[in-house]
Amino acid sequence: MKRGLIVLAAVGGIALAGCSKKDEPIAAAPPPPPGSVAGSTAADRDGDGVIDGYYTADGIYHPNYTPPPPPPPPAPTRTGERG
Amino acid sequence: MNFRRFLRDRSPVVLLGLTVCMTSLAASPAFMQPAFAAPAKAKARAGAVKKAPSAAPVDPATAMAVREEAGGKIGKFYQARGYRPLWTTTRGNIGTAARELLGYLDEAELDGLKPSRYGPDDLRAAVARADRGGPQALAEADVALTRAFVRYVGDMRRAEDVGMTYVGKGLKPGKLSDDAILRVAALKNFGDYVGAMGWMSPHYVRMRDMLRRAEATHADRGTLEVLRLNVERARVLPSPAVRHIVVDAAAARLYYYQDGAQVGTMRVVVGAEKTQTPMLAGYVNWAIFNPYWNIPDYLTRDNVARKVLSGRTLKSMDMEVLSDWSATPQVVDPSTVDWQAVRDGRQEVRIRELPGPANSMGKVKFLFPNDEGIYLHDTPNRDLLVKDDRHLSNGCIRLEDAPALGRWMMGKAFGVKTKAPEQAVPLPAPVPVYLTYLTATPTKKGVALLDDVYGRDGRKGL
Repeated sequence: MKRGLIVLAAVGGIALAGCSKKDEPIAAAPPPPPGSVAGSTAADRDGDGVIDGYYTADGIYHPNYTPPPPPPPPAPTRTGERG
Repeated sequence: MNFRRFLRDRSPVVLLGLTVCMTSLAASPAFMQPAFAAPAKAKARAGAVKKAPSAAPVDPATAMAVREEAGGKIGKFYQARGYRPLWTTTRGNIGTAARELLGYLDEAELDGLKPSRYGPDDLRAAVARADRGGPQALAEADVALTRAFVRYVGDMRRAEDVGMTYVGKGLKPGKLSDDAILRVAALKNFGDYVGAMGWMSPHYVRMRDMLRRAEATHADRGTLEVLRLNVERARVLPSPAVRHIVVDAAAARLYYYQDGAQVGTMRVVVGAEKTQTPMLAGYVNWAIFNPYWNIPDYLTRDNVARKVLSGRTLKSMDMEVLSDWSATPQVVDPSTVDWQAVRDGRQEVRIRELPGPANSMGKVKFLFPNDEGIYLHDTPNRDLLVKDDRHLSNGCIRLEDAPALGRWMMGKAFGVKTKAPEQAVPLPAPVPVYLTYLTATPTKKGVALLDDVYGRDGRKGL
């Protein structure tokens, strides 16, 4: 009886597992770059499929390459800041 | 309790469930591929990182057939993945992502496209042949699905002019290469990507769903036209894979995204009917802490000069007069200004509000270069943020939680330790911001149109 139960359970489980979505293809996510911190994930900031940095566990983006600072903030115009 | 006794005391149903759980667990990537679940060995300096999952094994016969079938840029994509099929499961059949795609293609008219361009019936026949087995049939179906997918995504991302001004390169949707479409799609879980229509903004997916519902319930022509307009407005927004901000001026809400998902949202105050927040896209690249508020000339004329003429002093309003609009102006004695001439528009004068708790910019303003004087900024007027109708600003976007947005954009670089005015700190990486206007929202019964505060919908008979 006990053995029958175990067999029944195992067969049922295997049959149901065959219907699960785990057989979907698994894409190979790229690893975070060298130098990234623990718990980080690879980041594709501009969505072009090329890894350009990493996200730390707090969701902050860290670029692989730190670009030079942008041009200085422009002087305000007569338009001002509409607020 | 020993294991035999445990089994004896449980019903067959419970045991069956337990077995299913254990089987599923054992089949999960974390158990099959312990290298993925566990962190990689720590680097001496930087620490450990998650290791990528290994690629699913590929049947050599299927890979060979894919190699024969795929050509051109699609061939290069397959080559880069060792001719592993894209749509085929590890069990050797076409997976659920194909069904999702075929569903999208059937209703491509929602996207303003013709389903026949993608041959969904031929694709279904190819999938049916693949389901009967054989590497050749699998490869043919896989490559055909990929070709249709690339064509469909490329067509969907082609946007028309919806009145958006783009300030900066790479903000306007451009033609996507086949290679780029596939590279992004295969970066993570392809099935999830297709299921979520991951190449489009979540706002687009929302508007598309509403259009489908409205068509199914035979909504009136005017409502359908407004929904189609909203679909087009949402089409120009990036996918959530792009790290970006969306401000919806119709709903007065801000959303921000990265890594394929929304990571935050907040209320905002946006422009009133007469001082509208434009449809504009730019790059946020500076945070200015302890900011001045440089008052636009028309507000100086219509507001500040009027108050001065009625007896208020600039000092009482924490404001000062400056000599000019250069980067290095001199402070001018306000008594030397002909305020009646300013009020009448015969004289122009530059005024700025000093940093402090009452400053209209709050503690920080975020710059994204544009000619319309539009900023994202903190605000001291918290009471406006709790109102339902938040179309109350002069066009700028006043933020409910500027520090949260700032920390997300800048990490540790957010904040300064000085009270000195106008402290400019560059962002570690520029963040695209899209100011849009989406006037439809889902309801329990179907779809509701928001008030067209800015009159941009051209609604007739609604």
